[in-house]
Amino acid sequence: MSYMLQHLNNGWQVDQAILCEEERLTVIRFGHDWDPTCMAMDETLMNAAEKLKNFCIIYLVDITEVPDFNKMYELYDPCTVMFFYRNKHIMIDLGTGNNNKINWAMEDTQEFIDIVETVFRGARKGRGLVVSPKDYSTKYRY
Amino acid sequence: MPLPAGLLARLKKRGLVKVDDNTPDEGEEVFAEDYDDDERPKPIPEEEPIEKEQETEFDENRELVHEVSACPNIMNMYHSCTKFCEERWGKKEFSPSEAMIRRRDRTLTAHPLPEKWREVADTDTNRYYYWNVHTDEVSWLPPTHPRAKVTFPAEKLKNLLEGKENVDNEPEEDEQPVMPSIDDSDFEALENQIRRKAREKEQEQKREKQKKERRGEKRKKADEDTLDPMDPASYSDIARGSWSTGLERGGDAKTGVDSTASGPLFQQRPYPSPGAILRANRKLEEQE
Amino acid sequence: MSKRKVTFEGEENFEIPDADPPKISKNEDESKEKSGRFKDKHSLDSDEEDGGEKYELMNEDDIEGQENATIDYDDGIKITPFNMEEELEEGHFDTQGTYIFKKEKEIHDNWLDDVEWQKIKEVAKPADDDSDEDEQTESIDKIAIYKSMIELMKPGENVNKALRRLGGGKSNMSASQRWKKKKKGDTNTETDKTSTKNTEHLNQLTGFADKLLQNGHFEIYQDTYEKMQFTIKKAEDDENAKKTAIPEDMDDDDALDMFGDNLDKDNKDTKGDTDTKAEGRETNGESGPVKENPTQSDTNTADTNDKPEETAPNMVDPTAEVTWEYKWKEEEEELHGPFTSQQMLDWTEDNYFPDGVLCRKVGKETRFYSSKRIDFDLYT
Repeated sequence: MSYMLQHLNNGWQVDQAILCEEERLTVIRFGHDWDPTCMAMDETLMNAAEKLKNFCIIYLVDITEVPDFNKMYELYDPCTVMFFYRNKHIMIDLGTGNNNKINWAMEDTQEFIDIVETVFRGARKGRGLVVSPKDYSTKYRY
Repeated sequence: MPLPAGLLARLKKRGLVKVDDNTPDEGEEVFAEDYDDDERPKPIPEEEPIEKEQETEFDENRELVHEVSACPNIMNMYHSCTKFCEERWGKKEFSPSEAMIRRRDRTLTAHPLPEKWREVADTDTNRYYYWNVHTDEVSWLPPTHPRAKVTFPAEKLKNLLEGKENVDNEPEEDEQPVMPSIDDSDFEALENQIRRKAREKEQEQKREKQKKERRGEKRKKADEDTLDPMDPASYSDIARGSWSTGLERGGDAKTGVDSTASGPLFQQRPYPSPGAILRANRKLEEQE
Repeated sequence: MSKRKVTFEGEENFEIPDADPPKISKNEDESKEKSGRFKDKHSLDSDEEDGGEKYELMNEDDIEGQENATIDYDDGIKITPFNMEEELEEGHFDTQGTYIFKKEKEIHDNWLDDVEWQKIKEVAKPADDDSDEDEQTESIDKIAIYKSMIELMKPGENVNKALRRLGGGKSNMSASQRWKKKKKGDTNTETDKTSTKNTEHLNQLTGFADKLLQNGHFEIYQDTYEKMQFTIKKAEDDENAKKTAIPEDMDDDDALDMFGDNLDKDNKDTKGDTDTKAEGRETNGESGPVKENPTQSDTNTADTNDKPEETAPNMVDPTAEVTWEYKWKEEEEELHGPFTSQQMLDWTEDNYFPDGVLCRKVGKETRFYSSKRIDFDLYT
């Protein structure tokens, strides 16, 4: 793949990465590159990135390297994916009860693409909370 | 074998030691006297060092003499007599004139001393003054006399004026009444005024303080009386807190979302943007 | 029965005289009190009498639930104790719990007496209308200015860059260079011509930018060519929608529908040449992928087309119109559709699918999602 996912190395970079995207959705994966959950998720992200690059940019953040957000974003899971649009956190009703983030590894690229598209459409319409096309309550349990 | 005075008095009170008629214990006498007056019971302990001044015997028959040293500086405001003065100059003798004795007898028959008042001889002026053993007030004339001015002793007033208030607890016997001399009437009036003012001020402060305390007490009492059934303290072992007890304080660890949200609200809580978090973190660091 | 009743009543009557008279008198007293209070409260005179405190003051200790002050400040934030001490300094409570301010502190502005409020309100309305008109003309102006600015700019530039480009030739020339030029004479008149043109353009562009700046559009120098294009297009679309909606006598919702359809047509038209579209999209990856105008894309390609098209064969385009097909059950083979998002939205809103149907976007062999979880409103 010619397209590599970009890493953000400090809090300021994260802030700027989101701020400078005026028209695109920013997807940030918080976690560790060596974590198996993250590896699985990164593969999905990588596959999706190319198809989504028109309206979405994906970044990776190492939560050990950038611990600034751990407390505020409650980053306790091995892998967390969050969506930002115009410096605003966009929530997704995934059916899991936690609307703030995707905190498991998604295996299906198309599913992820569908979610991102929904989030983007919702965010552009000014929604703070969108409903994911698929209900993940049965697949993912706490 | 002589027992210490304090112990003796205590033992006597319990009836363990026979009462010796020859040496009446002054402490006990005072104690007995204290029982008489019920207005303001003043705890004078039995072993109070009244005997510092050897002549002060609470015997009705014996004459009380206010003894001071014959120190020539006795009238100096800035001098206070020490043991040295006494040794150097000796003690003043009380030598009453006959005319004075006659006049005193006349006034005493006309205005007999009320209870708790004692006649004390003053060696300075060679006159008698009258002392209330309980309230520690003094007067040159019998208090029942229409022209009598009952005051606090000079030393006490001096302390009062200087702002020392702890003297009240231990009244000293060797105090003189303020001299009601005609020449010094102006001075006396002034002093009285100052004293009154000081007292008024004191009282006012006291009143204010009492009021505040009372108010606080009442509030506290009301709190204790009405325990809110929703208060965790009413159904668990948690200590009672005030209304702000459970509030989150600035600087505490918290997540970016409203942690009090629950149920459907819980799902409506977005996180702040990374920039906002960075700013908040920086502020926290600055505070620390 | 009646007999009994009589005796019963008699008994009551017999007993009551002891207890009744005082009761009545009490009531009378109360009513008297009440009426007295009412008189005090509601007569105009009593209101205006300040100082004559006819109401009873509430004792401070009667205010329940007060707490003593504990700390004055917490982390620089003032903590107000949960009691009425502060309030009681500026006023007091009557027995009913009404708070009454001390009146001495009231400040009276004399000039307020002279103000005629009726007139002021009359004047206010026409002023409002004026401002509305201003806004409208402003927005129209803005679009016109944008259009003329775009002509002066090159794609991918923002206003700042364009100004630099236009003014660049001149400023780069040092005094000695200019002197040399003069010496050479009119040998290169052609370049001179272009530079004069440039300065003309430069002046025009700064003029437009300044106009917008004065109208409160402060980011004008950072605005890119593409952004301006997008706003122009949007404004035009809006106008079109208005024009098309008004002649057909419909209500607002339908008008909006028409707008949607209009967009559909536009998109369908542009779908024909997918090549140019893809290219346009790529160029806009820098500035704004969504707000892209496909018709302009051919001009953009020259600048930033460094990626081959083949890398993104099935890119997702969220701006594209989505049509849907659905089936009622998982096992079913029969597909219905395609339908527009608006149709799907209407159906779901009208509860046409009580248990939800399985639907997916047309053109992609993706999985089916339950219509219950899909917000068709997002796709309209």
